[in-house]
Amino acid sequence: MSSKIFYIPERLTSQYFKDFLDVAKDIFKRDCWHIPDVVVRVDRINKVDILGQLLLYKFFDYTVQNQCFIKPVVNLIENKYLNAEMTKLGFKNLMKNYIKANNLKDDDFKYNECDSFFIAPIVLRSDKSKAIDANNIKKIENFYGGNKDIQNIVLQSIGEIGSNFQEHADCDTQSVIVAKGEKSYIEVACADNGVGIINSLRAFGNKDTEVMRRCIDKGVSSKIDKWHTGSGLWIINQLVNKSNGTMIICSQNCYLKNKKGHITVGESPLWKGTFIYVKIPLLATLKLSDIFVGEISPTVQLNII
Amino acid sequence: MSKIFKFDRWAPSLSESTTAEEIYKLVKSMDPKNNEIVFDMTNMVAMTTICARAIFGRLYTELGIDDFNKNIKFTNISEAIIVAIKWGIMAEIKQSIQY
Repeated sequence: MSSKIFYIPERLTSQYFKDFLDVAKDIFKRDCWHIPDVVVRVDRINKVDILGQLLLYKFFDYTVQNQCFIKPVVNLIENKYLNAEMTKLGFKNLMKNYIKANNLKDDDFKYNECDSFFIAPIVLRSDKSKAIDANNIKKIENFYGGNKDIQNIVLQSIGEIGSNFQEHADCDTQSVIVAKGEKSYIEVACADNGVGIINSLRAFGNKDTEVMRRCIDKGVSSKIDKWHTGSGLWIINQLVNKSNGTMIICSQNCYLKNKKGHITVGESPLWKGTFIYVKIPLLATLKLSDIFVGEISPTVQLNII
Repeated sequence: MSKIFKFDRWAPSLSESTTAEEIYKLVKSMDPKNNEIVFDMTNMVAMTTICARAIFGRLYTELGIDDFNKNIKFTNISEAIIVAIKWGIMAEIKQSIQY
Protein backbone atom coordinates (compact mmCIF):
# COMPACT_ATOMS: atom_id res chain seq x y z
CA MET A 1 0.00 0.00 0.00
CA SER A 2 1.26 3.48 -0.77
CA SER A 3 1.22 6.48 1.55
CA LYS A 4 -1.98 7.23 3.40
CA ILE A 5 -3.59 10.02 5.37
CA PHE A 6 -5.92 9.17 8.26
CA TYR A 7 -8.26 12.07 8.92
CA ILE A 8 -9.57 11.62 12.45
CA PRO A 9 -13.14 12.99 12.45
CA GLU A 10 -14.05 16.19 14.24
CA ARG A 11 -16.23 14.52 16.86
CA LEU A 12 -14.15 11.90 18.63
CA THR A 13 -16.77 10.92 21.16
CA SER A 14 -18.86 8.01 22.37
CA GLN A 15 -21.88 9.40 20.53
CA TYR A 16 -20.04 9.39 17.20
CA PHE A 17 -17.82 6.32 17.71
CA LYS A 18 -18.76 4.91 14.30
CA ASP A 19 -17.25 7.94 12.54
CA PHE A 20 -13.90 7.14 14.12
CA LEU A 21 -14.19 3.43 13.35
CA ASP A 22 -14.87 4.27 9.74
CA VAL A 23 -11.45 5.93 9.58
CA ALA A 24 -9.60 3.49 11.83
CA LYS A 25 -10.90 0.23 10.33
CA ASP A 26 -8.20 0.08 7.65
CA ILE A 27 -5.43 -0.61 10.19
CA PHE A 28 -7.01 -4.01 10.86
CA LYS A 29 -6.63 -5.06 7.24
CA ARG A 30 -3.71 -7.30 6.51
CA ASP A 31 -2.40 -5.13 3.71
CA CYS A 32 -2.14 -2.18 6.09
CA TRP A 33 1.30 -3.12 7.41
CA HIS A 34 4.62 -1.31 6.97
CA ILE A 35 3.06 1.65 5.16
CA PRO A 36 5.50 4.50 4.66
CA ASP A 37 4.66 8.19 4.77
CA VAL A 38 1.56 7.85 6.90
CA VAL A 39 0.07 11.03 8.27
CA VAL A 40 -2.52 10.93 11.04
CA ARG A 41 -4.37 14.24 10.89
CA VAL A 42 -5.96 15.23 14.19
CA ASP A 43 -6.43 18.92 13.41
CA ARG A 44 -10.15 18.54 12.66
CA ILE A 45 -11.04 17.23 16.13
CA ASN A 46 -13.17 19.73 18.02
CA LYS A 47 -14.92 17.45 20.49
CA VAL A 48 -13.43 14.55 22.42
CA ASP A 49 -14.39 12.46 25.45
CA ILE A 50 -12.72 9.64 27.37
CA LEU A 51 -13.82 6.95 24.92
CA GLY A 52 -12.52 9.03 22.01
CA GLN A 53 -9.16 9.52 23.67
CA LEU A 54 -8.95 5.85 24.60
CA LEU A 55 -9.75 4.72 21.05
CA LEU A 56 -7.17 7.11 19.63
CA TYR A 57 -4.60 5.71 22.08
CA LYS A 58 -5.51 2.11 21.15
CA PHE A 59 -5.36 3.03 17.47
CA PHE A 60 -1.73 4.09 17.92
CA ASP A 61 -1.02 1.13 20.20
CA TYR A 62 -2.28 -1.31 17.57
CA THR A 63 -0.32 0.31 14.75
CA VAL A 64 2.88 0.20 16.83
CA GLN A 65 2.39 -3.40 18.00
CA ASN A 66 1.68 -4.56 14.47
CA GLN A 67 4.18 -2.27 12.75
CA CYS A 68 1.46 -0.90 10.52
CA PHE A 69 3.29 2.33 9.73
CA ILE A 70 6.88 3.29 9.07
CA LYS A 71 7.70 6.56 10.84
CA PRO A 72 4.18 7.99 10.87
CA VAL A 73 3.63 11.70 11.33
CA VAL A 74 1.18 12.68 14.06
CA ASN A 75 1.17 16.16 15.43
CA LEU A 76 -1.05 16.33 18.48
CA ILE A 77 0.28 19.76 19.45
CA GLU A 78 -1.17 21.33 16.30
CA ASN A 79 -4.66 20.92 17.70
CA LYS A 80 -4.67 23.07 20.84
CA TYR A 81 -8.08 21.85 21.96
CA LEU A 82 -7.11 18.19 21.66
CA ASN A 83 -3.75 18.85 23.23
CA ALA A 84 -5.40 20.49 26.25
CA GLU A 85 -8.01 17.74 26.62
CA MET A 86 -5.43 14.96 26.35
CA THR A 87 -3.23 16.71 28.89
CA LYS A 88 -6.19 17.11 31.25
CA LEU A 89 -7.16 13.45 31.08
CA GLY A 90 -3.57 12.19 31.14
CA PHE A 91 -3.57 10.63 27.68
CA LYS A 92 -0.95 12.96 26.30
CA ASN A 93 1.53 11.71 28.85
CA LEU A 94 0.53 8.10 28.22
CA MET A 95 1.02 8.47 24.48
CA LYS A 96 4.28 10.36 24.84
CA ASN A 97 5.75 7.71 27.12
CA TYR A 98 4.37 4.93 24.96
CA ILE A 99 5.93 6.34 21.81
CA LYS A 100 9.22 6.91 23.65
CA ALA A 101 9.52 3.49 25.29
CA ASN A 102 7.10 1.33 23.25
CA ASN A 103 5.73 0.18 26.56
CA LEU A 104 4.12 1.66 29.63
CA LYS A 105 5.15 1.37 33.25
CA ASP A 106 2.83 1.47 36.24
CA ASP A 107 4.05 5.00 36.99
CA ASP A 108 2.61 6.18 33.67
CA PHE A 109 -0.91 5.51 34.92
CA LYS A 110 -1.50 8.40 37.22
CA TYR A 111 -4.64 9.15 39.17
CA ASN A 112 -5.41 12.81 38.71
CA GLU A 113 -7.96 14.92 40.52
CA CYS A 114 -8.96 18.30 39.10
CA ASP A 115 -11.59 20.81 40.25
CA SER A 116 -14.64 18.63 40.13
CA PHE A 117 -13.56 15.33 38.67
CA PHE A 118 -10.98 12.59 38.82
CA ILE A 119 -9.42 10.62 36.00
CA ALA A 120 -7.79 7.25 36.48
CA PRO A 121 -6.28 5.30 33.62
CA ILE A 122 -5.55 1.76 34.78
CA VAL A 123 -3.66 -0.79 32.72
CA LEU A 124 -4.94 -4.34 32.79
CA ARG A 125 -1.71 -6.26 33.12
CA SER A 126 -1.23 -9.79 31.92
CA ASP A 127 0.03 -10.41 35.46
CA LYS A 128 -3.52 -10.69 36.69
CA SER A 129 -2.72 -10.74 40.39
CA LYS A 130 -1.99 -7.03 40.37
CA ALA A 131 -3.95 -6.02 37.34
CA ILE A 132 -6.08 -3.26 38.77
CA ASP A 133 -3.89 -0.92 40.75
CA ALA A 134 -5.11 -0.85 44.35
CA ASN A 135 -3.81 2.66 45.02
CA ASN A 136 -5.92 4.15 42.24
CA ILE A 137 -8.95 2.26 43.51
CA LYS A 138 -8.45 3.63 47.03
CA LYS A 139 -8.23 7.17 45.67
CA ILE A 140 -11.45 6.71 43.71
CA GLU A 141 -13.11 5.40 46.89
CA ASN A 142 -11.95 8.51 48.76
CA PHE A 143 -13.28 10.79 45.99
CA TYR A 144 -16.78 9.49 46.75
CA GLY A 145 -16.15 9.45 50.50
CA GLY A 146 -19.14 9.32 52.78
CA ASN A 147 -21.59 7.49 50.54
CA LYS A 148 -21.09 3.73 50.67
CA ASP A 149 -23.74 2.94 48.05
CA ILE A 150 -22.19 5.33 45.51
CA GLN A 151 -18.70 4.03 46.30
CA ASN A 152 -19.99 0.51 45.70
CA ILE A 153 -21.63 1.37 42.35
CA VAL A 154 -18.43 3.04 41.15
CA LEU A 155 -16.02 0.31 42.28
CA GLN A 156 -18.37 -2.52 41.25
CA SER A 157 -18.66 -1.01 37.75
CA ILE A 158 -14.90 -0.63 37.35
CA GLY A 159 -14.33 -4.12 38.79
CA GLU A 160 -16.92 -5.91 36.63
CA ILE A 161 -15.79 -4.20 33.41
CA GLY A 162 -12.10 -4.57 34.24
CA SER A 163 -12.31 -8.25 35.19
CA ASN A 164 -14.45 -8.99 32.14
CA PHE A 165 -11.82 -7.52 29.82
CA GLN A 166 -8.92 -8.98 31.72
CA GLU A 167 -10.27 -12.51 31.39
CA HIS A 168 -11.14 -12.19 27.71
CA ALA A 169 -8.31 -10.09 26.32
CA ASP A 170 -6.05 -13.11 26.06
CA CYS A 171 -3.93 -11.70 23.27
CA ASP A 172 -3.73 -8.13 24.48
CA THR A 173 -1.42 -7.15 27.30
CA GLN A 174 -2.00 -3.41 26.89
CA SER A 175 -5.71 -3.19 27.64
CA VAL A 176 -6.52 0.04 29.37
CA ILE A 177 -9.50 0.94 31.48
CA VAL A 178 -10.21 4.59 32.12
CA ALA A 179 -12.52 5.89 34.79
CA LYS A 180 -13.61 9.50 34.90
CA GLY A 181 -15.96 10.68 37.55
CA GLU A 182 -17.71 13.62 39.00
CA LYS A 183 -19.83 13.52 42.12
CA SER A 184 -22.93 13.09 39.97
CA TYR A 185 -21.77 10.43 37.50
CA ILE A 186 -19.09 7.88 36.64
CA GLU A 187 -17.80 7.13 33.14
CA VAL A 188 -15.80 3.99 32.45
CA ALA A 189 -14.20 3.11 29.13
CA CYS A 190 -12.17 0.03 28.33
CA ALA A 191 -10.69 -1.14 25.03
CA ASP A 192 -8.62 -4.02 23.77
CA ASN A 193 -7.50 -5.57 20.52
CA GLY A 194 -8.07 -9.14 21.70
CA VAL A 195 -10.27 -11.92 20.34
CA GLY A 196 -13.50 -9.94 20.67
CA ILE A 197 -16.87 -10.65 22.28
CA ILE A 198 -18.41 -11.99 19.08
CA ASN A 199 -15.69 -14.62 18.65
CA SER A 200 -15.61 -15.64 22.29
CA LEU A 201 -19.42 -15.89 22.60
CA ARG A 202 -20.05 -17.48 19.20
CA ALA A 203 -21.88 -20.42 20.85
CA PHE A 204 -24.68 -18.03 21.85
CA GLY A 205 -25.83 -17.13 18.34
CA ASN A 206 -25.33 -17.65 14.64
CA LYS A 207 -25.56 -14.03 13.58
CA ASP A 208 -23.06 -11.51 14.94
CA THR A 209 -25.84 -9.13 15.96
CA GLU A 210 -27.61 -11.96 17.78
CA VAL A 211 -24.43 -12.69 19.79
CA MET A 212 -24.04 -9.00 20.55
CA ARG A 213 -27.62 -8.76 21.77
CA ARG A 214 -27.11 -11.77 24.06
CA CYS A 215 -23.85 -10.62 25.64
CA ILE A 216 -25.76 -8.58 28.24
CA ASP A 217 -27.98 -11.52 29.23
CA LYS A 218 -27.53 -13.31 32.53
CA GLY A 219 -25.38 -16.42 32.39
CA VAL A 220 -23.83 -15.66 29.01
CA SER A 221 -20.11 -16.31 29.31
CA SER A 222 -17.46 -18.27 27.47
CA LYS A 223 -15.73 -19.07 30.76
CA ILE A 224 -18.53 -20.25 33.00
CA ASP A 225 -16.30 -23.12 34.18
CA LYS A 226 -13.62 -20.66 35.35
CA TRP A 227 -15.61 -19.01 38.13
CA HIS A 228 -17.32 -16.60 35.75
CA THR A 229 -20.97 -15.99 36.50
CA GLY A 230 -21.86 -14.52 33.12
CA SER A 231 -23.34 -11.55 34.91
CA GLY A 232 -20.72 -8.78 34.66
CA LEU A 233 -22.26 -7.06 31.64
CA TRP A 234 -25.76 -7.92 32.86
CA ILE A 235 -25.06 -6.02 36.10
CA ILE A 236 -23.65 -3.04 34.21
CA ASN A 237 -26.64 -3.02 31.86
CA GLN A 238 -29.06 -3.13 34.81
CA LEU A 239 -27.25 -0.21 36.47
CA VAL A 240 -27.49 1.74 33.20
CA ASN A 241 -31.23 0.95 32.99
CA LYS A 242 -31.89 1.99 36.58
CA SER A 243 -29.91 5.22 36.32
CA ASN A 244 -31.00 6.30 32.80
CA GLY A 245 -27.38 6.05 31.77
CA THR A 246 -25.57 5.08 28.59
CA MET A 247 -23.66 1.96 27.56
CA ILE A 248 -21.93 1.18 24.28
CA ILE A 249 -20.31 -2.16 23.54
CA CYS A 250 -18.56 -2.59 20.22
CA SER A 251 -16.77 -5.67 19.00
CA GLN A 252 -15.61 -6.65 15.56
CA ASN A 253 -18.43 -5.58 13.22
CA CYS A 254 -21.20 -5.06 15.75
CA TYR A 255 -22.32 -2.69 18.43
CA LEU A 256 -24.88 -2.57 21.19
CA LYS A 257 -26.08 0.72 22.60
CA ASN A 258 -28.23 1.23 25.67
CA LYS A 259 -29.39 4.82 25.97
CA LYS A 260 -31.67 5.33 28.96
CA GLY A 261 -32.95 1.77 28.74
CA HIS A 262 -33.50 1.80 24.98
CA ILE A 263 -31.30 -0.86 23.40
CA THR A 264 -30.18 -0.86 19.78
CA VAL A 265 -27.94 -3.41 18.10
CA GLY A 266 -26.41 -3.03 14.69
CA GLU A 267 -23.43 -3.33 12.43
CA SER A 268 -20.43 -1.04 12.70
CA PRO A 269 -17.10 -0.57 10.92
CA LEU A 270 -14.50 -3.09 12.08
CA TRP A 271 -12.78 -2.82 15.44
CA LYS A 272 -10.43 -5.73 16.17
CA GLY A 273 -11.25 -6.66 19.74
CA THR A 274 -13.78 -4.99 21.97
CA PHE A 275 -14.46 -1.68 23.61
CA ILE A 276 -17.05 -0.63 26.11
CA TYR A 277 -18.16 2.76 27.34
CA VAL A 278 -20.48 3.28 30.28
CA LYS A 279 -21.89 6.42 31.84
CA ILE A 280 -23.86 5.94 35.03
CA PRO A 281 -25.54 8.90 36.73
CA LEU A 282 -24.96 8.40 40.46
CA LEU A 283 -28.49 8.81 41.73
CA ALA A 284 -28.90 8.86 45.49
CA THR A 285 -31.40 6.02 45.20
CA LEU A 286 -29.17 3.74 43.11
CA LYS A 287 -28.18 0.56 44.95
CA LEU A 288 -26.57 -2.62 43.71
CA SER A 289 -28.94 -4.73 45.80
CA ASP A 290 -31.95 -3.30 43.92
CA ILE A 291 -30.97 -5.04 40.69
CA PHE A 292 -30.93 -8.41 42.45
CA VAL A 293 -34.45 -8.10 43.87
CA GLY A 294 -36.30 -11.31 43.02
CA GLU A 295 -33.14 -12.80 41.49
CA ILE A 296 -31.64 -14.48 44.55
CA SER A 297 -33.14 -17.66 45.95
CA PRO A 298 -34.27 -17.25 49.58
CA THR A 299 -32.59 -20.56 50.38
CA VAL A 300 -29.17 -18.91 49.98
CA GLN A 301 -28.57 -17.18 53.29
CA LEU A 302 -25.46 -15.85 54.98
CA ASN A 303 -24.83 -16.18 58.68
CA ILE A 304 -24.23 -12.57 59.68
CA ILE A 305 -23.17 -11.79 63.26
CA MET B 1 -13.14 -21.33 68.89
CA SER B 2 -13.74 -19.16 65.87
CA LYS B 3 -11.00 -17.86 63.61
CA ILE B 4 -11.17 -14.35 62.19
CA PHE B 5 -10.41 -13.79 58.51
CA LYS B 6 -9.90 -10.10 57.82
CA PHE B 7 -10.50 -8.84 54.29
CA ASP B 8 -8.90 -5.50 55.05
CA ARG B 9 -5.74 -6.11 53.01
CA TRP B 10 -7.81 -6.45 49.85
CA ALA B 11 -10.14 -3.52 50.63
CA PRO B 12 -11.89 -1.62 49.25
CA SER B 13 -12.47 -3.73 46.14
CA LEU B 14 -11.81 -7.32 45.12
CA SER B 15 -11.98 -7.88 41.38
CA GLU B 16 -9.23 -10.27 40.25
CA SER B 17 -9.89 -13.98 40.01
CA THR B 18 -6.27 -14.87 40.79
CA THR B 19 -6.49 -12.94 44.06
CA ALA B 20 -9.76 -14.72 44.80
CA GLU B 21 -7.98 -18.03 44.23
CA GLU B 22 -5.29 -17.03 46.75
CA ILE B 23 -7.94 -16.09 49.29
CA TYR B 24 -9.75 -19.39 48.77
CA LYS B 25 -6.53 -21.29 49.47
CA LEU B 26 -5.93 -19.25 52.63
CA VAL B 27 -9.43 -20.06 53.84
CA LYS B 28 -9.02 -23.75 53.04
CA SER B 29 -5.80 -23.83 55.06
CA MET B 30 -7.94 -22.81 58.06
CA ASP B 31 -9.97 -26.03 57.71
CA PRO B 32 -13.48 -24.55 57.37
CA LYS B 33 -15.04 -28.01 57.64
CA ASN B 34 -14.00 -28.27 61.26
CA ASN B 35 -13.55 -24.65 62.30
CA GLU B 36 -15.81 -21.66 62.52
CA ILE B 37 -14.45 -18.80 60.38
CA VAL B 38 -15.69 -15.24 60.75
CA PHE B 39 -15.08 -13.08 57.69
CA ASP B 40 -14.58 -9.50 58.81
CA MET B 41 -15.55 -7.34 55.82
CA THR B 42 -14.68 -3.99 57.39
CA ASN B 43 -13.67 -1.49 54.67
CA MET B 44 -14.77 -3.80 51.83
CA VAL B 45 -16.87 -1.77 49.38
CA ALA B 46 -17.16 -3.97 46.29
CA MET B 47 -16.57 -7.55 45.16
CA THR B 48 -17.01 -8.82 41.62
CA THR B 49 -19.30 -11.77 41.10
CA ILE B 50 -16.36 -13.80 39.70
CA CYS B 51 -14.48 -13.39 42.98
CA ALA B 52 -17.56 -14.09 45.07
CA ARG B 53 -18.13 -17.33 43.20
CA ALA B 54 -14.46 -18.37 43.28
CA ILE B 55 -14.30 -18.03 47.07
CA PHE B 56 -17.73 -18.39 48.63
CA GLY B 57 -19.56 -20.29 45.90
CA ARG B 58 -16.85 -22.89 46.01
CA LEU B 59 -16.88 -23.09 49.82
CA TYR B 60 -20.67 -23.38 49.80
CA THR B 61 -20.77 -26.37 47.46
CA GLU B 62 -17.78 -28.06 49.10
CA LEU B 63 -19.01 -27.68 52.67
CA GLY B 64 -22.68 -28.14 51.93
CA ILE B 65 -25.45 -25.86 53.14
CA ASP B 66 -25.39 -27.06 56.79
CA ASP B 67 -21.66 -26.76 57.43
CA PHE B 68 -21.49 -23.51 55.45
CA ASN B 69 -24.18 -21.92 57.57
CA LYS B 70 -22.68 -23.34 60.77
CA ASN B 71 -19.01 -22.51 60.15
CA ILE B 72 -18.94 -19.55 57.75
CA LYS B 73 -19.95 -16.30 59.36
CA PHE B 74 -19.73 -12.67 58.31
CA THR B 75 -19.36 -9.46 60.23
CA ASN B 76 -19.23 -5.78 59.28
CA ILE B 77 -20.58 -6.66 55.85
CA SER B 78 -22.49 -4.24 53.60
CA GLU B 79 -25.68 -5.05 51.74
CA ALA B 80 -23.81 -4.76 48.41
CA ILE B 81 -21.22 -7.37 49.42
CA ILE B 82 -23.97 -9.65 50.72
CA VAL B 83 -25.76 -9.69 47.35
CA ALA B 84 -22.48 -10.21 45.46
CA ILE B 85 -21.64 -13.23 47.64
CA LYS B 86 -25.14 -14.69 47.39
CA TRP B 87 -25.01 -14.24 43.61
CA GLY B 88 -21.63 -15.98 43.50
CA ILE B 89 -23.01 -18.88 45.55
CA MET B 90 -26.03 -19.21 43.27
CA ALA B 91 -23.83 -19.25 40.17
CA GLU B 92 -21.68 -22.02 41.63
CA ILE B 93 -24.71 -24.07 42.73
CA LYS B 94 -26.14 -23.78 39.21
CA GLN B 95 -22.85 -24.86 37.67
CA SER B 96 -22.44 -27.82 40.06
CA ILE B 97 -25.93 -29.05 39.19
CA GLN B 98 -25.06 -28.92 35.48
CA TYR B 99 -22.05 -31.14 36.18
